[in-house]
Formats: sequence, structure tokens, C-alpha cells
Amino acid sequence: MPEKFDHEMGLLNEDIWNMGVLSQKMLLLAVESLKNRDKDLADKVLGMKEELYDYDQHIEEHTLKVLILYQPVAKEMRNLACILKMITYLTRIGRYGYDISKVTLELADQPLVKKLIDIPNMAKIVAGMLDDVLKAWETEDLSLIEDFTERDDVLDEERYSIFRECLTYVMEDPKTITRCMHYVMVARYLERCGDHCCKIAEKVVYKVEGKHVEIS
Amino acid sequence: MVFGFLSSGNNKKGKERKKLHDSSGNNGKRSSNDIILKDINIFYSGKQAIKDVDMTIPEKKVTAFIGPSGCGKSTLLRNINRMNDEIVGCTYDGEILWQGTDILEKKVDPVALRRRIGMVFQKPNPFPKTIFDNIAYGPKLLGIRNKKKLKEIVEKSLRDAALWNEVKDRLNDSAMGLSGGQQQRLCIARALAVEPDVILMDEPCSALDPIATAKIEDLINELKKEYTVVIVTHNMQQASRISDFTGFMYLGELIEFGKTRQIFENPKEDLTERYITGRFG
Amino acid sequence: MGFFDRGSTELKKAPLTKKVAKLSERVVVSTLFSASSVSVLISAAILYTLIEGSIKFFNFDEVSIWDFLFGSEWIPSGTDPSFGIYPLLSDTILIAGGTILLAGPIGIAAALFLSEYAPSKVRNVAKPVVELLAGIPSIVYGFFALFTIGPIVREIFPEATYFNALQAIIVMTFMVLPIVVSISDDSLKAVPRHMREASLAMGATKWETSIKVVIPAAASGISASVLLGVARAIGETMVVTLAAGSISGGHWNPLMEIQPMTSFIAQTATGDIPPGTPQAEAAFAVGITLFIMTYFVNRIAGRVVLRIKKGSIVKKEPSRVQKFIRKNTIDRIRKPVEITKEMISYRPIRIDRSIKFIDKTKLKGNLIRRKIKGYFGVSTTVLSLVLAFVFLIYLLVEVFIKGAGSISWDFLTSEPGFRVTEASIMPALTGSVFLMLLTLLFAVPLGVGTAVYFNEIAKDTWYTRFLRNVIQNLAGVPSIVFGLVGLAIFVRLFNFGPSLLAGSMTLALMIMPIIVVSSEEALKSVPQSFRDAARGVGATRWQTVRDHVLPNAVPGIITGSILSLSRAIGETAPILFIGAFFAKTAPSGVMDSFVALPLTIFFWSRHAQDEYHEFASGAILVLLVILLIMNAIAIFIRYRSQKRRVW
Ligand SMILES: Nc1ncnc2c1ncn2[C@@H]1O[C@H](COP(=O)(O)OP(=O)(O)OP(=O)(O)O)[C@@H](O)[C@H]1O
Ligand SMILES: [Mg+2]
Repeated sequence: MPEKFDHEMGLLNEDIWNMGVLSQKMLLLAVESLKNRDKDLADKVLGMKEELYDYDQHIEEHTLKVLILYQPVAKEMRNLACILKMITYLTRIGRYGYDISKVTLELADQPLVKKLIDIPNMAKIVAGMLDDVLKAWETEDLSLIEDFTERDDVLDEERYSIFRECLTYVMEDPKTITRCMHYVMVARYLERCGDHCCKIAEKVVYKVEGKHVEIS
Repeated sequence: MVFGFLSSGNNKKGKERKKLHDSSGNNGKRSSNDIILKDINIFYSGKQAIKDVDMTIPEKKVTAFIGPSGCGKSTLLRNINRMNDEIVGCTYDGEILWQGTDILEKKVDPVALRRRIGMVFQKPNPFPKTIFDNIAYGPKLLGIRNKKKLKEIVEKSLRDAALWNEVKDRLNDSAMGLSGGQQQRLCIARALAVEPDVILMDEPCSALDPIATAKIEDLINELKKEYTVVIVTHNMQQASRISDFTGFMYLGELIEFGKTRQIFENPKEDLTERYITGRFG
Repeated sequence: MGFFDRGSTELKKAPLTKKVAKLSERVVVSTLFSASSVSVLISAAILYTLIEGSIKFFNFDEVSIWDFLFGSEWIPSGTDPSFGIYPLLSDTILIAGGTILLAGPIGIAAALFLSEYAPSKVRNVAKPVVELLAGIPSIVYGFFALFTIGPIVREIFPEATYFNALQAIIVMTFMVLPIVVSISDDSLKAVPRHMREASLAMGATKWETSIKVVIPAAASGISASVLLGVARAIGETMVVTLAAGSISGGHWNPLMEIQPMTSFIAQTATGDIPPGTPQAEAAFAVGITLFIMTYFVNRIAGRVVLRIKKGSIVKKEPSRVQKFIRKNTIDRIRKPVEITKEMISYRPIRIDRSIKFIDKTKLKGNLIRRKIKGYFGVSTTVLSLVLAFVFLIYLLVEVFIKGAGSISWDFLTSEPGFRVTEASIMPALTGSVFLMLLTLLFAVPLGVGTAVYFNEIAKDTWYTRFLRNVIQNLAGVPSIVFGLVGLAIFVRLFNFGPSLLAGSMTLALMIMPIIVVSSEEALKSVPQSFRDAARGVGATRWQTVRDHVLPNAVPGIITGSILSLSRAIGETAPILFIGAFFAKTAPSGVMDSFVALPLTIFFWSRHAQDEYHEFASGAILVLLVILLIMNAIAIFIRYRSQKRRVW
């Protein structure tokens, strides 16, 4: 049985990895499209939603099947519990990418309030966290996610500074209200993505060590 | 949080290990009704089958032994009511403390001990007698001759073993005519009839279908409110379902002992993990 | 051409049809088949003898079937003979019943000790010693009953007559003891260990477990052992003929003279009863009664033994008959149980342990009482075994003390004269040796052939099952019945007269089933892989047997044959009708008349002059020594072949 089980787990791991890459891609591309006011790119991201949902459904089903058929225990059970949670968070992250793309479509015809620097920076941090947490999940190397609390704090600060900045723009020129509100929302989305990465990191710790910890 | 009690089978330092085990029982609460095994070694004609086992089996809980075939689960279990005395060439040392006495001492009479520590076996083994006589066998040995009293004992034992409703109309039929699951519950009832305090079970469900197994498991769940139950099982799910504590044995050693949830969710020993996940060998 | 040159093509061209089986193979196989079918002929001969003789008997005017079955007087001679079987029957029952009443409890107790309590060392010694009792010829038991047990019995019961049933019963107890012990022991051993553990785990003592669980579980096997003991006691001839007397009783008094059926048949052989009279032919009618009795007792016991061998000692399923009875009685009377929901779904019940039935204060005293009971019980079982040992030692010592004095060179080798001082066993000794060699010549090929056919060649058909049945039944036929068969078939029908030839053929009939069984054991001990290997490279069945099975089974076959011959040499009853009681010289041809050692012992034991009793002891000693030597050889061969065995 372990052989067959290992085979199934291999398939699952690959799917999770691909799903992680997909949601990361959605997020990064969406921010890119926002930065460049690129409608085509935004449309492309919108088109990825279906794929993301497919992954979510497929992996959940597959995980349940493995749970039922093999009734795993110990680390195997913990890993599957981790996966079930992970797909939810990954879907949320990809879904934020989708939301950001919608913002792009709405703002594409208007000029940027200023050159976007902080938002792409936040996206980069989130993408890095996602990268690390997926790697940590795969390699069980917890040192990769040791500093997640700090990174999450950085994201919080960035969001807050964007919020302050937008506030000044809005006070100067009420015409920028729509755009600035959107920016604040996007920053908020990205910060939530960081939280999700932290949640995933908690599950990875549970998978590896069997301990329930709280990150951030 | 981290579970407070860990065992470390690989840790050869007896003292330290003992301390860890001692705290394992009833979350540190100790009772004289706990069964405390100390440095148990068991040999079959000189060949060692059990090596330095230390553990505390808590009162009124279900404790399960798991482990690969031939690792000595039955051997250890059978020592708790001295059934190993009946095997020629089987010797043992160490102590088993229960209710303030070392029950392995020579002066303890195994016949008296076994009334108080009953046993149920792998294969249902009713005597080829009627259902009534099977249950009344023990009480009769203890000198109870009164028909009415015997009837009451039979009824109570059968009720406690959740078998009464199924057999009350055919108490005088042969016990061999019962189904496997019923036979096993009969054997449990038979063990209950002499009013023991501890019940040892050696793979009681391995010969039964899932429904009969479920009934026995329910029964064990009920029994543990009043009795200390020690069970050997090859069915990992069963161990995780019904036991409060689980010990994993390998090659005659107790590798890990702890709360069942911990053993199955987060075993401390690599060997345990490999065994329960089926990656052994 | 490479290494694997498949060479000449002749072999390849061999056709794959069945015709390849060579003529010689077919001849051998049909010969073996015929050998195995001889047992049917033997059975037919037995039936023919008994029925033909009985018809002749009932054709006499003085005789009627009604009187035979229901008459209460057995007066075969005189002017107004009366042939009611009742006295013979009741004497048989008295003897067999008395024997089993003693041998049953003693044997079961001894078996209980061997299987439950004896350490394996004790067991390994004690079991063969008990089985030694079975190897002693019955004529020796008869002698011992008359001359050693008799005086003791008369000492204790002064009213006992010189010949009496009790002394016969006492020795026969030990004669059938090995049967009871070994089969009871087997069935006690067959009680699964978990049954004992169930009882012990409940806090039963070992003795309680033995009595209340193990014995009831082995009850069928134990009753089979008792039944086989009964069959043996019913068929026993020489002890009762020598020690119990020759006056038919029907009085149920063990201290008086009686005459069971076997004893009457033997009497017709030894007394001066003119042939052709109803008195002589009555033997056949009694013989058929005896045959039927032992047949049924053996048959019932055989079935039970078979079931034990198959391992189903504890009956799980009610038998067809029981089912039928239950269906037509109990189920009709009792209303069908209504299946309620409650019965199906499990509902946990709160277990209340405050209700207690057992008075804990009394347990201690109770336990002490139970333990004391156990000690007494186990002591009884030990005593039973010791009793058997004491008897065996007493018998051997007595024979030795009484017989040693009469043994001399002249006693063994000189021609006997008519005076007491000139007694010699030379003719008997040579007669026995010739008899044995001839018996060997007839019985071994037949027996081994049958065994080979059964074990190696025959498929499981109704015919082979039938043959097996026949052979099993033959093994249970009382030896005196074979005597009648020898008389009717070989002496009279084939006209061999009372010759060595007729005697040895009779003995061969008797021991053939034993040789079949022991040879089959030897064949079975050859691993199946040898046969598969030989068959795998294309050997035929017979080639396989000849080249690979038989050579490996030979030691076992020889051992078995020697042991059955040692049985033949000690037998008296089958040649009672054929052998002479006195001869001056050894036989020189197969058609000569002969005497044999057991016959001489019988003759001398009944002699009026006391000196001859000493000679009888001497002859017994010689007989026992011969048996000892034969057994030693057999054991040696077995031991050597086991040591050489490589598989
Ligand atoms: N009566 C005996 N005599 C000699 N050795 C024995 C005896 N019973 C058990 N053993 C040996 O002791 C070891 C432990 O046996 P035990 O029956 O306790 O194992 P187990 O864990 O109960 O196995 P299983 O799961 O197969 O029941 C085995 O190596 C076995 O061969
Ligand atoms: Mg076991």
C-alpha cells in the first residue's frame, strides 16, 4: 500500500506546487498589469480564474479520496490536513490577483496618480513568501519560514504607508479619490495575501512537527 | 503546545526513561489500581521475547499494544495475569505492581489472580457447553451453587456484555451455535461473570466481521468506565478508535508509549511512525 | 552447434499419446491392483466361512434359529443339547464389561496424566512403556492370570473357583489399557490449547480445567478409546480360554467359571469334539455373532477416531440427525423468536458494578479446598500410570523367575520325549520360525503391494474408499474368527489339512491389514517433492515408485513388517484349529503338521502336571526373548534410517 499511496501523494504534491505557482503568477501579473495599465494582461489574469478553481476542486477531491482509501496517520495525515487548508489559502491569493486585475480594467483609461513602486514591492514580498512557504512545505525546511512574522510586519507597514500617501493625494485633489481608494484596496489585498502565506506557514509547521503554532 | 509525556524507547538510560513513563499514566495522577510494569523481561526457553519493558497501565482506561507480528505483544499481555506460567520453558523477571503487590511474586497464586484479571482471546473460545453453563462456569468454581443466584449472574453478565437480548431465549442451546461475534461477546460475558477488575484482550476482533467488531468496540468503550482494559490489536484504526493509551512494541521492546492521539498524530519515534504509516521492513 | 545442442531427434519424435505406457508398467499396476483387491477376497472368505458354517449348523434338526437367539441354555453336548446363545453372550458381556469398567477409568486417568501433567521427559518414557503392554502375546497374559493372579484372587475371595472370570478380567484390564491410554491421550492432546486457556484465564485450577473442560471436549475420542477397548475385550480368546474356564454361565458372578463366545469357539478346536456334529458347527454360529458384535463396536469407534484425526474434535455444527430432530420437535413447540429492533441494534447499557454476587470473604477457603481437590485428582492419575508399570514389571519378573529354571540346552534343542524330564520346545521353536517365514512370504508382498497401490497409484474412487473400509474392518476382526476361516478355507476347502501352509496363510490373512497400515505410513513419510521431481522429468507412476519412493521407504516397511510378524508369532487363536499340540520333530515340509510356541505354552499351561507349568514359563521366556529381539531389530533399523535420512 505505501507504494500506491506514495504515487498518489506524488501526484498531489505536483498539483499543489502547480497551483501555488498559478496563484503566485496571477498575483504578480495582476500587479504588473496595474502598474503598466495593460488591459490585455489583466484580461489574461481574469482568464486564469477557471484554472485556479479547477485546481482547488480537483485537489480537494483527490485529498479526500486518499484520506478515505488509505486512512493515513502521523505525518501523512498531517500533510493531507495541511494540503486541505493550503488550497483554500492559495485560492484566496489567486482570487486577489483576479480582483486586482479588475481594478486594472477600471483604472486603465485614467492616468496613474503616481508611478507605482510600493504596490509592486509588496507583491514581490508576498511572492517571495509564497515561494518560501511552498519550498518549506516541500522540503520540510522550516528555516525558510522562520522570518514570516517580520515579513508580515513589513507588509503591514507598507500597506499603512500607502494608505497615508493616498490620503495626502486625495486631500490635494478629490479627483484622485476613485484611483486612490482602489490603490488602498489593492494594498489591503496584498496584505491579506501575506496573512494567508503565514497561515500556510502555520500548517507547514504542523505538517513537519505536529505542533500547532501561531505566526504573526 | 507539546504533549507532556514522551517516551523514548531508544533511550537506554533506565532511570530517566522510568521517570518519563511514570508520569504517563493518568496525567500524573497515580492510583494503586494502575498496573505498573517494571523492567519486565520474558524468555521462552532462554530466548528473550520481552526486553526491559517499563510502563504504567492506567486504571479504567483502554490501553492498546500494537506492533508487528511476533514482537511480543501477546507474551507481555499474558504475563499480566500470569498465563505464561502455563507455558513450559517460559520464565520472566521484573515486577508488576498492582494494588500494592508485585503480582509476579511466587506467593501470589495465579489462580486467585486470574479471577481478578480476566482474559479474552483472539479466537472466540466458548466451551462446548450451553450458553448458560459457559457463563456459570466461573461462578460455580467459586462455590456458587444457588440456581437463582447463578441465573442472576448469567443475566447480568450477558447484559453487561450486550448479548442478553440476543440470547435470552436460548440460554440452554450450545454456545457453539452462536455467530463469531456473539461467541466473542459471550467470552467477554464469561470473563465478567467472576467480577474481575482488569480485562486483558488479545486481538479480540481479528476473527470478526466489521459489524461484530463495531459491537465489541462499543462494548469496550462501555467497559472502560468500570474496568481497566488492556488490548492487543493488529488493527491500527481499532487501536486509535478505542484506546486511550497506545504502546508500540518492536522486537520485544516497548518503543513508544503514550496517549493514543499523540502516537497516531505525532509519534516521537521514527520506528513508530514507520510502523503506523505502513512503511516497515 | 552451441552448448545446448539438443542432439538427436529421436526423443523429440516420441509421440505424445498415451500408448507410450509400456506393457510392463501396465502389468505392474494391475498386479498391485490385484494385491489390493485380495482384502476383498479375505472379507468374502470370512463371510463365506461364517455363513456357510452357520447354515450347516442351523440345518441340524436339533437346532433352531429361534432357540439360538432366545434360548437361555447352552448345553452343546449330551443327549439333549440346547443351543441358546444367552449364556455365552452374557459371559462375554461380563468379561468385556468388567474389563472396561477397570481399564476405562484407569486408562483415562493415565492418559490424563500423560497429556496434561507429565513433563515431556516422563511422557516420552511412559508412553512406550504402556504400549509395551500391547506387545505381550495374549497367551502370556492368560498364563499370568491363571498362575499368578489366580492364587491372589482366591486368597482374597476364598469362594472363588480355580477358573474364574475375575482373574481374566484383571489381566485383560492391562491388556486393553494401551488402547484406551493411547487413543484417549491422542484425543486429549487434540483438545485445542485455547480451550484450556479459556478456563485457566477465568481462574480455574489446572485440575478443574482437566475435568470440566478438557475431558468433556475430548469425550468423543475417549468414548472411542473405550469402545475399541471393549471390542478388543470381546474378541480376546486365549486369556478367557486359559483362565476363565469352560462352563457357560449366565450367572453374572465374576468369581465363578464362565465361558464367553471366544472361549467356546476355542474349545471346539481343542476338545475332542467330533466334526460334523452340531456341537462342532455351533462354533460358526457363535463366530458370526462375535463377528457382528465386534464389527459394530469397531465401526462406531472407528468413525469417531477418524473424526479426531481430521481435527474436528469439537463438534460445531449439529449433525443432520440432530438438525432433523430439532426441526421437528423443538422448533415446532417453541414459538419462533420475534426479532425485535432491540436485538439487532446494539444499545450500550450502563454497566453497574455495585451489584456483586460473589462473596469475597469466602474465596480464600474455597480456593484452598479446590486446590486440595486438585492434588488428590492428580495423584489418582499418577497412581493409575504407576499401577500399569507395576503390573508390567510384576508380569515380567514372574515369568522370568518361573521360567528361568527350566531353560537348558536340552530344553531348547533336544527331541522331546513323553516323560516330564524330556520336555523340549525344539519342535515348537522351529515350527514357529518356519511359520513366521512362510507368513512373511505371503503377507509382506500382499501388504506392501496394497499399500503401494493405495498410496502411490490409486486415485480416490469409490472402489479405493471401499477397499480402505474393508481393510480397516479386517483389522478389527477377532483373531479366533481368522482361526475359523483358516479351518474352513485352507484346511477343508483347499484341502491343505492341518499343515504349516494352512497355518501360515491364516496368520498372513490376520497380519496383512497391519502391514498395509505400517507400509503406508512409511510411504507417506517420503516427501512429496521426490515424486514431483521424478514425475516432472517424465517418469511414469511406477518408475517413480520403484526408483524414488520405495528405496526411501524400505526401512520403514521392514520395521513395520517385523513388528507385525512379531504379532503373528505370538498369536495362538488363529492356529488353534490348525496346529498340533504335540510333535516329536520339527516340520520338514510345508504340508507337514506343526506345533508352535504359543500352542505349546497353551498346551502345557492346561496340563495337569505342575512341572509342565514351569516349562510353559520357560517357553514364555523364550517367546518374549524372541519378541524382544525382533523389536530391537525393528527399532534399530528405524533408528539407523532416521539417522541417515537427509531430507
Ligand atoms: N510458546 C512459545 N514458545 C517459544 N517461543 C514463543 C512461544 N510463544 C511465542 N514465542 C515467541 O516469542 C515471540 C513473541 O511472540 P508473541 O506471541 O508474544 O508475539 P505477538 O506480538 O503476539 O505476535 P502476533 O501479533 O503474531 O500475535 C515470538 O518470536 C515467538 O516466536
Ligand atoms: Mg499475539
